[in-house]
Amino acid sequence: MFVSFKNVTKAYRVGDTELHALKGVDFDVAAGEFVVIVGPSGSGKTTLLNLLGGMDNATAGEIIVDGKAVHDMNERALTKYRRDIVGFVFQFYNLMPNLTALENIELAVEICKDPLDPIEVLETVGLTDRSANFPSQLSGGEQQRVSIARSVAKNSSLLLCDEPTGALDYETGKKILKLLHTICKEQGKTVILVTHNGALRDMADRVITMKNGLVAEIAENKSPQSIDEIEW
Amino acid sequence: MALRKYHKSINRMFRGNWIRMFIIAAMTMISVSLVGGVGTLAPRMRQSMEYMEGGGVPGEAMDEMRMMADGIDRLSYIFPAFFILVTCLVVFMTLTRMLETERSQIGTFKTLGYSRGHIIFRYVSFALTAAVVGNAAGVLMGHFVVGPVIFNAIAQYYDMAIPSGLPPVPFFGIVSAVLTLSFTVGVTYFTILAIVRVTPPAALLRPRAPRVGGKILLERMGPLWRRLPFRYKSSLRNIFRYRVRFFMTVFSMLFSTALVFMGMALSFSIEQSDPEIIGAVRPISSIIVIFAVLLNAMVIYNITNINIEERRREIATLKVLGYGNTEVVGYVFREIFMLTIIGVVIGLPVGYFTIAGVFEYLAFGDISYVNWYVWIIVAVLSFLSLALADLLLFKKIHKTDMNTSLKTVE
Repeated sequence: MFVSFKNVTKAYRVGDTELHALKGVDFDVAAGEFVVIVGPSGSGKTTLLNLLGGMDNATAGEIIVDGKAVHDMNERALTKYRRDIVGFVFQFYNLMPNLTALENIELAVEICKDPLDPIEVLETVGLTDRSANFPSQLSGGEQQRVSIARSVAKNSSLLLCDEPTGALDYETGKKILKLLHTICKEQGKTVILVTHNGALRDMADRVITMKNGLVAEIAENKSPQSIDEIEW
Repeated sequence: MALRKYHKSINRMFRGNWIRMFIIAAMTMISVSLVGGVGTLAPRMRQSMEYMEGGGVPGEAMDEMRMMADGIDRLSYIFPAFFILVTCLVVFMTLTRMLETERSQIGTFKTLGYSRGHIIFRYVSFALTAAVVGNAAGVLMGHFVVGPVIFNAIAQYYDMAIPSGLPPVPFFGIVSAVLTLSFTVGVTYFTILAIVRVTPPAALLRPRAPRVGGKILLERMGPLWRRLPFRYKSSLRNIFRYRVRFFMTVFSMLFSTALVFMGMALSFSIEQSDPEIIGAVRPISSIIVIFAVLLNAMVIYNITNINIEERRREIATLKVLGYGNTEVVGYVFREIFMLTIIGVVIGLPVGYFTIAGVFEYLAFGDISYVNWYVWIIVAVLSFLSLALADLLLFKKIHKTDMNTSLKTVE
């Protein structure tokens, strides 16, 4: 399996109390799958994504990605992991405000060993005309597309998305989801998407339901629906 | 009862801003103590001379001393003015940027039903506390430490009597303290007033209009611009986009560098052009140089600090993209570095021409006696301050948490 979580726990110390965000999470994800992680707020899905993205350290348990033991990595190794393996897509885009769309992508690939061509990737997301625009001149959907292009250009094998449509309207959100799904299937990338929108289960190959810091259910979807057919 | 709850929440509210306020207070203290201390010198010298005349010291020696006292008098008008100017500039810049970050906090207060007057009172009282502490400490330090230290050095050199009576009233110190205090409180008041007047209150809670993207003048230089690595493009755009902020920052750096130059020039020049008064000038100029360097360092530290705070999101994003600590640090400091260069390059000549003018006004000193290596020393000192500020703030970048910085709306 491409991604494996084995009894992963994450606890935070908040003042005098300990907050258990993850209480023993187990799941596997195969390469090239489109995975949706659903759950109410507080269920631990964002924490899970942060651990997977090498942005935080697990308290205990094993996280294996592409054969590598992420839970054991030190800071330098995690930096390399984030650089080479992971592409992150945020709810609020997090583009550099002082760089154009194209430059934002160039920024990300500058440190990569084997990146894709930024201009080509921009074309893939349909923003060739907007390559010289700054984030403030782009709509939310366009900014998110640049953000996705940024992650894709890195040629990372794992794409992690945290509520990518959270700040977008219904129509635009659907387009973004379609784009992510296309990238997953056409480029063979593993996409893990975190959302509280239960309707998105139907488009996934695998659905992981989180509740209270634990995996409540893992479902494999043999015939996922196209996003065009899903309404909410 | 309500008043007590009030004070506690002011403390809690501003916990994060204590360092910035401390720096404002410290800068104020440095400037005011210098002004106050130097301001007591001439009166003190005259007191001493009265005593010595009474003790039968010959007239010629007294005339020379009188001239020296007059010169010191003029010095104590000129240099302090520059110190207060730089301090006010930096206070203005720090306060306005700091209070900008309080927008959503103020929005929350408004939605909770706090009145405008209430909100203004909170912030103004906070600024007032910091200003009172800084200025009072400055007046006291100037009067009891800086003044006597310099005076004793002068008195020892010229074999003057140390007057036993009461030291003169710290007139200069008090005036500059009052000016700085009013300025600090005034800036706070008007900045908060502008924020508090924003309607509807919900507008304060929404993220501020995003940084406007647009091309800067430099981008028109096609081939040169194209060849620049985009990290420099980002830093340059950031510097030049907001003119007011750019000018304030550059002016702060510029004037504090000019001050260091002027202090050194004073010492180097007098030593060669009017060596007989060097005993009085050297202690003063040493203190000026030390204080100017300290002020310069604080200016750089403050600007860097503010920059990091404002760029928290970008720093976190870079980390997520896989940039190592050194590279992220470079991203932030490139800007500061460029600003320091601009500040030094413009500040040195400004200092040069100003001190030339000051020498005219003082009627002693000669600009041609300022050795070439003074320029180099001042530049080196500026970059040392930069290096020091960098070291202190490196840790801050290192600690920026990726997770919390990227999730909020702002």
